Amino acid sequence: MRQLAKLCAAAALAGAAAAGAARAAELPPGTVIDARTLDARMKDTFQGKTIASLLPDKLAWQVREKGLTITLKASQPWTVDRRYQEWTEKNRAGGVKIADGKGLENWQAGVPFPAIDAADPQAGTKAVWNLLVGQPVGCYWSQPRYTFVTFDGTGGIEREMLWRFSRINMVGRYCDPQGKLTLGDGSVRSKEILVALEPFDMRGTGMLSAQFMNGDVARSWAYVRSVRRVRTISGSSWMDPVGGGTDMVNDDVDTFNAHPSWYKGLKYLGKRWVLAPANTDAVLWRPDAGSKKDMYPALDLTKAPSWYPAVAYEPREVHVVETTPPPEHPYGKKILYIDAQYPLPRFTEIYDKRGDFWKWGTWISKNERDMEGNPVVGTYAGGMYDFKRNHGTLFLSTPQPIYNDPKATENELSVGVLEAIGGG
Amino acid sequence: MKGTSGKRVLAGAAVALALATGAGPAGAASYELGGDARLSVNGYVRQWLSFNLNDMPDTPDNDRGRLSMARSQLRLDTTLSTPFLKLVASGRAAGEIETGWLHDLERQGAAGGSDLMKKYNTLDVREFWAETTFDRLTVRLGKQQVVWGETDFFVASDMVHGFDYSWRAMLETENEELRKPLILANAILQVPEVDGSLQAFVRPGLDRGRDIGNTFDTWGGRWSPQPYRGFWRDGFVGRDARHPEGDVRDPTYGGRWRGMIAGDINYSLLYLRTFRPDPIVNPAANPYGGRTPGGFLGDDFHPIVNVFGATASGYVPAIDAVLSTEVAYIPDMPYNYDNLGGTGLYPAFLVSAGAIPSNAVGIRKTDLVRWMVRSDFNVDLRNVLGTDGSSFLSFQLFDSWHPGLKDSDNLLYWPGFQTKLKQHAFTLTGVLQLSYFNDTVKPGLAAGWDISYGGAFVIPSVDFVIGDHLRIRAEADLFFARGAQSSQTDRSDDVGFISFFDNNSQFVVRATYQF
Repeated sequence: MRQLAKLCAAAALAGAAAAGAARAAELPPGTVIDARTLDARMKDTFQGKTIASLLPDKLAWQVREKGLTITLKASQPWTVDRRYQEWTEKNRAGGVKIADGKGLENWQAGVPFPAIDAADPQAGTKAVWNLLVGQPVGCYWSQPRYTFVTFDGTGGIEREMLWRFSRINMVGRYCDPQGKLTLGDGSVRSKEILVALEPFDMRGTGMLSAQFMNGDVARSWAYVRSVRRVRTISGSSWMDPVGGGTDMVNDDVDTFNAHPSWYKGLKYLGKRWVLAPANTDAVLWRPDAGSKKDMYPALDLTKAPSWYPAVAYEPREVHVVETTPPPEHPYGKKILYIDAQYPLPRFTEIYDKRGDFWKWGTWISKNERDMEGNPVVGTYAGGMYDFKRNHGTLFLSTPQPIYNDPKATENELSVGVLEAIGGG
Repeated sequence: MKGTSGKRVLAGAAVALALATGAGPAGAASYELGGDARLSVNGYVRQWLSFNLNDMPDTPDNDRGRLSMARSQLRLDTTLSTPFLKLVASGRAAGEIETGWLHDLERQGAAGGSDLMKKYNTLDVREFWAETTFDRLTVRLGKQQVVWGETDFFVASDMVHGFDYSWRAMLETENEELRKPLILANAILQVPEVDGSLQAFVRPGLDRGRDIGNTFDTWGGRWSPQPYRGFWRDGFVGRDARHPEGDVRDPTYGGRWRGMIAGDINYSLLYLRTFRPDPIVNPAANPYGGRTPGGFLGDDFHPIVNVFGATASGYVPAIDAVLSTEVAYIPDMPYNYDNLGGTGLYPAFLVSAGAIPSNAVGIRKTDLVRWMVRSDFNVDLRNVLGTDGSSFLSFQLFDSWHPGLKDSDNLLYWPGFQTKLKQHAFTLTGVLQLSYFNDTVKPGLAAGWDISYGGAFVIPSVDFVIGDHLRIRAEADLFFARGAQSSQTDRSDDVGFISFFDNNSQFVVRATYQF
């Protein structure tokens, strides 16, 4: 019996030694980190950085408690449009300024603030402006079909909604076919049109909105299919839930969809590296597949909560900004993780008014080509998970989003077109 | 045999549903046909149950708690999309079980001895059109709906089509289900330079007589105005869709410019030549327009009128509200009159017998201005009522103003009732919509007050969204009438539209399976 105890002790020591050796290991791409292996991997490194340093606390918590699995892949820097890169380099000289805390001065295109100094009191605001106007996505982005899928954390898929989306950037148009950097008088940042295609009770219901550079509230119009009429809607709807029972509010689009001046605070917390799903090649949605399993090939629908797509994560450097919304906003605090190579949303971490963790959002990006063959980087998919309600939403893009269609003009986004699409 | 046609409709509905849902996942059945062509089929199966909440003075038994409607409805929408052409066909089948209460109305006289359920069991092609786009110009031909104006609940310039108020009054949430589609040639030209569009349509006159104007329950069914439940009005007042001043075969048309002004104020200007939505009666005692009515007391008809309209709406950040307005000017709007203080309806023999002068009743015209102002607010009730997001609150004041009306005109509010038309008919309505549990539980409250003629209504409701397919709505339609006529011999000079619904409060449950 004593011998058995000795053997066990020896085995335990050997195991501990092996674990110690593993902690120090540089992990190869393809390594899977899940709840079972998380603690053992925390001190391991990937591309020279410890796993612990690459996982924000709430992301690690999801691995440990919520069934998130992370497969490692090597970082892959993005290729972007040459013209975008040139404008960005021009801005590196520091000529762009935030005008009275509102619009931008001396900015024409590219990332307005490519170099952010952590000591700059406006660092957080600059990082947010980069996200708002400096994404390497071009002038026009359209998803003829994309889906919102909502999940009950224990019961799996709850609802599937099909939408049509188009956005035209009215400023910073480095890829404009006519060379117009700005459409209109420059006061409108972007226009978006969003129309529900399914299910039946939402079909045709749509919204057109215009966002402004100077902090004016967005102007929005909705087409209500059931009464077949366009109605002007309140500009304060930017804090309201995205329709159809999703877990996002309108302000969560791209993690931050407001004007910086509407927020009480945008505090820059610094730069860090995180594991994030960028450059994904996984097929996440086959709209015309016959079964749920085929339709969502990256989801494990047999295992709750089913809402994490199996996509590989790579180390990305991010700016971290802690934002404090106005009192009427449902959130108490929202932390943004903004990609530092070029501004794209990576994560958002949301707290309620009492300071309790509430939601987590993950954005999945893809480096693609636009219709003229130039590189763009756009959001491909993402998820927002409400851990208080144990409810989640995935948004999955059409397999072939359209970027920078040279034929698409401002004309494509108008109240008349909203009415025509909704009524059709 | 009663209800057989309803069963046939429902059997067809079941087959259609099976076909439509067989191929699809959660939403519409959708088929790629090659060459960028796509065929999609979607729709719903819907079941209503409604119960009377009042005893009605115009029926012999106690009506409270009795089932007033057990209606099943199938809608199938089919869309074929190609790069150059879109074809849409929408059909609707409705079948009702004859409830004991409806059967009693029928025995009392509703439908004049024929099968009352034929009024409710219907099979309709709702829409059937083809659309093509040439650059900025979109042309749509076929049976369709064209909706103008801003006003909810009431109609100002949304007069291209009539509505069918016979089976559910005006209470159905989706008014596209009540609007009566017409065969139109419709063109929209986008003018993006000014964020505008120009729309014009022509109705060539190919529709059926019953497709024009509003349809009301004139046969004594569940939405007959008090005190005419169980009374077959159609036996006394006919319907004429070929009156020289309101002939379904005559073309009607309209044009609308919609644009933006001052950056973000959405406005429209429109002209319409269309049918008066509510019918008036060509009186047997004094035939109008050179047409002798076939009905004992006269014929309902819808004269053609001209409508000049304007709408505007915009967001006002200072008060965080959307303000909207609409004005529709209808010169020479025809009304029935009665110089004797009666209902405007007399048999012709009273004139030939010299009992009444022929010009004691008839049709006179006066200008009508319908206008509306509305304010929509987003109110934050999260801390008060625990809602998901901000709640929608809307107030609307609607008026039908007859600026040239004189008391001596003796125009009638509604032929068949003694109430005289007033210079104004103000109605104030309010709507509150809430949302809970990720927009899956949606309580609402709608209320209205007829300031001029009296009476009010309150409609509390709750909608449940269950997955992609199932929608359940429960609502109470509560009417608080004033001045209603309680019997056919009763005389009331204060009848307004709410008094038509006196003692007709309902509790309604609606379940929809959509696909």
